[in-house]
Amino acid sequence: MTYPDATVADYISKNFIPLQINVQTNSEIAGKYRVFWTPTILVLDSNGTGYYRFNGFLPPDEFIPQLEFGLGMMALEKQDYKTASAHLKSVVEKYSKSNIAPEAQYWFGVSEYKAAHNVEALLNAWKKLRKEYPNSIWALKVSFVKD
Amino acid sequence: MTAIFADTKEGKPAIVWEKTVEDAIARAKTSGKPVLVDFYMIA
Repeated sequence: MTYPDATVADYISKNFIPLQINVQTNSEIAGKYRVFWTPTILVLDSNGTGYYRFNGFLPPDEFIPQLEFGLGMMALEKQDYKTASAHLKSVVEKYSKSNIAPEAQYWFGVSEYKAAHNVEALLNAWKKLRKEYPNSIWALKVSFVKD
Repeated sequence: MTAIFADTKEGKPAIVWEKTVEDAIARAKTSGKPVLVDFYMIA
C-alpha cells in the first residue's frame, strides 16, 4: 500500500500539510473542489486554491513523482519558474521511469522558456523529451521540433 | 483509502493527517507548505 510506505510518508510530511476528506461525510467540501470520484488527490496552496489533481491508486514509485510534478505545476502556474523547473527536473532525474516523467520534461522546457524567454532551453528540453521518451504522447506533441 | 497509522514498526511517525480544511490551510500559511488533500470514501 502507498501511505504506509516510509518513503511516501516521509515525502508527504516534508513537503505538504496532509489532509484527508471522507466524501461521504463531507459532500460540501467535495463539491467545492469538484470531486466526483475517489481517490482524488489534490494539491492546494495556502489559500485553499487547487492547482493539481489526479485520481486512482498509484504505487509509491509513481505516487511520489506525481506529487513532485504537482508541486512543479503549481509553481509554474504561479509563475515561480525557478521552483517549477527544480521540481520538474527532479521528477525526470529521480523518477525517469515514472509515467509522469515525459510530461514533466515537456513542462520543464516550458518553465525554462517562460523564465527568460529562452527558446534554446525550450527546444533542448523538447529534443531530450523526444530522445528519452520517443513513444510518449508528449514526444508526439513536440514532434514538430527539428533535430 | 484506510485511516491513519500512528507509528510504523520502526517507531518512525507516519503521516499525520489534518481533519479539517481550515486547520490544514492555517498550518499551510504558517509553514509555507501546500496542502495535499486525499479525498476518499469507505466502501
